[in-house]
Amino acid sequence: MAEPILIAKNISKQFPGVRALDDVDIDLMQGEVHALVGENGAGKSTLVKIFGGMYRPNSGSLFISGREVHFYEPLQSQVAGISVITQEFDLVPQLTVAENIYLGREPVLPIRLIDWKKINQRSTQILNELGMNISPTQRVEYLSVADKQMVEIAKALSRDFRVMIMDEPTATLNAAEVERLFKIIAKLRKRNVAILYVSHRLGEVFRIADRVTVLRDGKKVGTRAVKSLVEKDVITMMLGRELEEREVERIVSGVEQTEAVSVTDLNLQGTLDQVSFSLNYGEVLGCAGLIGSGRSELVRILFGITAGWEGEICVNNQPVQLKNPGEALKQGIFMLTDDRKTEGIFPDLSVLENVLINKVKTKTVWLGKLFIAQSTERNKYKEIQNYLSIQAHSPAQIISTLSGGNQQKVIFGRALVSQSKILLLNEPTRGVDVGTKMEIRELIRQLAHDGHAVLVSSSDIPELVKVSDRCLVLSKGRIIGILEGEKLSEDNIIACAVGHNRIGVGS
Amino acid sequence: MKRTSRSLGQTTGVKHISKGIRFLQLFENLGVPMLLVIILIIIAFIAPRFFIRTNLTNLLINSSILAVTGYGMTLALAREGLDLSVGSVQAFTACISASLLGVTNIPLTIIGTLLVGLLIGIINGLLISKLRVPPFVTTLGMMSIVRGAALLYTKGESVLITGHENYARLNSGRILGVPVPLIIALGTLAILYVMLRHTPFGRHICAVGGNESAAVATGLRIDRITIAVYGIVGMTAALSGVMLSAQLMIVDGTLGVGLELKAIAIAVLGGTSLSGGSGNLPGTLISALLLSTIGSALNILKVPAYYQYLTTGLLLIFALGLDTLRRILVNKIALRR
Repeated sequence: MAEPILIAKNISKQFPGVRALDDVDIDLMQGEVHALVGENGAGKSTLVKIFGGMYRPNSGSLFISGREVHFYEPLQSQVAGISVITQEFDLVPQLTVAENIYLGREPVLPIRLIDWKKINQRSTQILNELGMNISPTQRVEYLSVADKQMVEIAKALSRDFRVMIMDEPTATLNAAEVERLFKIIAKLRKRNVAILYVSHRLGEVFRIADRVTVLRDGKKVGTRAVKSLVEKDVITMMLGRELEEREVERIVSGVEQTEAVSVTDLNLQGTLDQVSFSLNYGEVLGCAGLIGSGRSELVRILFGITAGWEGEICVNNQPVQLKNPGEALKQGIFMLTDDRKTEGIFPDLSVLENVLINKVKTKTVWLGKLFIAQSTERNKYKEIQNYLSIQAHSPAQIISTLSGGNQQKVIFGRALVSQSKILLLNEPTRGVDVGTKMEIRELIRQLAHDGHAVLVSSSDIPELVKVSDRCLVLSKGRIIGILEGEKLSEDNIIACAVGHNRIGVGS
Repeated sequence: MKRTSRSLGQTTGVKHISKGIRFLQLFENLGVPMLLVIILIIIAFIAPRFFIRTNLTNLLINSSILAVTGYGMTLALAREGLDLSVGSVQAFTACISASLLGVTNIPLTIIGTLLVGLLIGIINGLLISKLRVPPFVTTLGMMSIVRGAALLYTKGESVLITGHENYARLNSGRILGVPVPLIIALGTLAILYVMLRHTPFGRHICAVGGNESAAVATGLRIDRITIAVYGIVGMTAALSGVMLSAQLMIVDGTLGVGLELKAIAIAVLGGTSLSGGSGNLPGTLISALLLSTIGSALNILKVPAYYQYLTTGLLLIFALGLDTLRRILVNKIALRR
């Protein structure tokens, strides 16, 4: 490793009421992958935004190649050679790939017209370098998330840059896409680019990073060489204490296990094939499967979003049609979406309003249905807040100011308020920090213990092993196995999930 | 292990995408012209008198005047905005051109009138970009202000343009057999099309309209682009004012009522999305022809003129419905759910 390219010294950033960053130092070397980790709210995003020129620090200084720089707007950060790739892509969906790559720097002919030949040629060259075979004249809106990310990287490659900052780049990618990204990171490293890799996923950090800096509550805990650490050390640094890696308690349910949902010979054109299983009250049923296995469609059918299926679905031993989510809710079915930001929360409403959006069933007279009774609501909220241990300083707090984990708990609160007994949980701990993950898993067990029927659909296989009593494994629309007891292990789930096409499997 | 099964899924996905995209693009390019042809065929059966020469000339002139305003609206929509003041601006500038003709020659009259439109547009743009007043509110206010100005300027009376036969030729003249208004509409189309599709400025309009924060992050000068866009919208409205005054040769402050709605309708029907980021200028021209054709056919069938409001409204809603449908399809394709 050569010399540091980017040095940040004593960076502090104050927001009204919060000290987001407190005297943080960090330095990036040429050709190094430097991971930045910390729980939600630790200050990672703030630091990224300071590097990107979106925020200005209250104090502290930035040096690039030994020279001090000040960023007043994003453009200055780009000119200085920093490229930031965030989760919300800075792409214009209606423009083509090439136009996006060269936005604001279009090569022009002498008469100020865009030189299409040059712009498309150059873009193709960059895309080829990245191993992408998309056309530069394709409109970005038609691309998958992973491809959009590649266009972002191509955009950075098209100009001279020395530092690339990636904010949770793998959050929405599947396994193959993650591999492709890692290959590109390796290439960039060879070119002596410094990469700041911000991630929740410690597994990735240990795979690709050289050094790791841990933030906690806006302060830097330390920077270490990854080789000298194990995952547990990093978690301890992040939490400031040792994570009690206790097994989530398997509470043997006190409730008589009666059937909540039974699915018989469920078919959906091209996605599900003769799916049959049952879900009981008082149990957590896991659901595993790769993308494209029909896992998400199965849950969407049960919540009445996807129509056009054949077969029989019984809820409480009564056959049901489930034409729309409203009907599913009436049957006592609740679904937790896997896309909290766009389908889950109402970002501008308070925590209380977000909980009560599915109206409270109270025994008030008819007028009471029109007006929201403050006291009943608040009592209900207190009850729920205690049950879920939501960390909000008041029910009137705007939900988007909470951490991801707490937002998730608020949505769980919605399920409780609606008194749904059957819970369909999609990726319940996605975008949730390590500490809260544990709490949510315990909460899921608690809900089952209290008599709910819980279906957990997750791509996080260790999580399924930890929380579920039984686990369905789907592959290509079919149930390959229902694992329980001793057999419920990570290895078995993975073997089942991919077992269907063992031929040609590389490893 | 996972990679194998995934890449299998992807190949089928890609195939599906290109098919979907091809269908969408075909629909975007050919939808409105096909609709126009169908309507013309129907008219041929129920109102053959539609095809007499004077009617067709009138139709082309009316569509040309409408299309010119529509171009400006298309740009405003591409910038993810809209301009409700175009009808008032058309009336005001028509009156301005009438009185300028009294004091100066025709070229200076046209230039002066366009400058007035540009100025109003720039004020719109300044309010929208610098004061952050939403385009809807800004231009709604401007619609009322300019309408008032037009009525005050003419003291509520009609102004007759007399003794300017050359000015009337802007409307009735023909070059190589093509009516002058159509030539103006086609010429404006050519200039604006090249500007929107082939210059950095035009692409930046779409970029700002498609994803403003991305445009900011790339260092585009959002405010300048916005002001320029509304300036152009004002100019196109003024140009249509000139064309209208040459057609009528008698102007007053009540011209162009409801023009904004027609302009939005033809722009959206022509394939320009209300969500910004793209503008289909040729589509706007063809939709202007479509709207005027329907109006003219209703006229010939002796359907009261009031029904034209109905058709405009219906077309607008229909076009918006199609736009939403298109967006849903795009999302489906991109998400591959």
